[in-house]
Amino acid sequence: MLKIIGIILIIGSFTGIGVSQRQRFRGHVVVLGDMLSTLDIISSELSFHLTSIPEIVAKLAQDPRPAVAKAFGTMHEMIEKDDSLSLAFKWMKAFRDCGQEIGLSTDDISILCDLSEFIGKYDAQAQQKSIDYAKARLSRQLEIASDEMKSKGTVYRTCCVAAGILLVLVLI
Amino acid sequence: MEERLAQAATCLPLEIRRRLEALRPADQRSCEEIRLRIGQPLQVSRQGKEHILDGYVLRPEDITDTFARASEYSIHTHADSLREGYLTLRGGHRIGVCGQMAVQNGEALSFRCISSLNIRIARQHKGVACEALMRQLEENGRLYSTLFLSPPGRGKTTLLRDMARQLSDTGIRTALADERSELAALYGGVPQFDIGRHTDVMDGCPKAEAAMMMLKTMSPQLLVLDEITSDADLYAAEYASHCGVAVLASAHAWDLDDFRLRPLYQRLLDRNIFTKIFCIEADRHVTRVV
Repeated sequence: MLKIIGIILIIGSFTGIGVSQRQRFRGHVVVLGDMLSTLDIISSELSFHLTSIPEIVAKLAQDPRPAVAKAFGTMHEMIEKDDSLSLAFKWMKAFRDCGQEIGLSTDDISILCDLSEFIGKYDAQAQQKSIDYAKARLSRQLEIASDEMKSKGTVYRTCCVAAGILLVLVLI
Repeated sequence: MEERLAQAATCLPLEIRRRLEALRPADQRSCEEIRLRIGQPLQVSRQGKEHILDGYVLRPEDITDTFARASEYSIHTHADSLREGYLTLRGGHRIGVCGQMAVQNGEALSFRCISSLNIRIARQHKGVACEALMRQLEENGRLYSTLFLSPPGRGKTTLLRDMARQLSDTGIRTALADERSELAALYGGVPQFDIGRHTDVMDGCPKAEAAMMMLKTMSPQLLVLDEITSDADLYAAEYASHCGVAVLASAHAWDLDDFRLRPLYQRLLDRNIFTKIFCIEADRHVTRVV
């Protein structure tokens, strides 16, 4: 009986590791999709309402998607502080501080940080161009992440299950 | 710090705000403008005169920091008004901007760099339009189209706002074309000044367009236009008067003679839109000239 329980535990835990690795890849894909749609929202607010950046950030801080709410909530808190730091600095700091926590890679973070050079500094059209460029770069990241999820994600899951079975066989 | 001054000063760097806080309460209340010029000492205007605050000399970063905060780090939001040399803060305080402009095809594009700022503190003085003046606007239930003349800084906007408030509170449907967000100073849709219970506001939209929209959709009895400056404004006022809507407006001029010298205002007089014309004197007394 103990042997059967042990076998189940070993295979289960290895499968869990494999599945969680796959989830990590999936999470990256989801957060990139969230960021792309967030850039769409920013772009629409800029072009149609000429909404100020602090107002857009405040709206996004209330977004139902946890990753968007976390990044823009952090940024909103920084903007609300009465200090002499620029918006560009706060934009960058928010993504650097919580980018990895919400599942973005270093490359994704640097793409979003690059936007700080344009956000709020020029007319709506110039800002939209920079957002479009960031979206094109993030879309490329999304393609890579999707491919990774399909290939590596499946490999991780299969390997981990196989490793669990192998360990059980060795122990038996 | 006095409430209105504090609100206007939120865009200033901390160091400058501390200096304003150090002003005596009476001086804070009478403060009309805060003047910031690169390389010059900080100055505030009281009763039309500039006073040096202390030895603090303004650095370029003080100006750029103030400008960035005042524009909410969002040039696109204020691009149109900046092309006309100003932006409006929450609370209706107006900031005049000066510096080097980028010009394309003869039109102002944007500020390349900023050399000075003038923060005008907007205050509401309820009752500034006295009973005697209000009686002249409305006689036997008839509301007269009225024009107020004065050079800048004599309280045209304050007077118009108070008259609009008083008339609106008597039940007159009032439409406010608040192009520069100074009359009502909407913030998040909420007027920052008391403009009366029966007042509709179109904020941030060119006056003439706003007036035409409101005339067609809000069926006002009174249209308020602060500073008639173009033919389009003139047309909107004329259109309103043809619709049977009274117009309460202001224009820049020292007196009636000065007013008559300007071609735009000559056309305005020719059209007989305004039944009464008043002049705001240097001591802020309002005198009827027509």
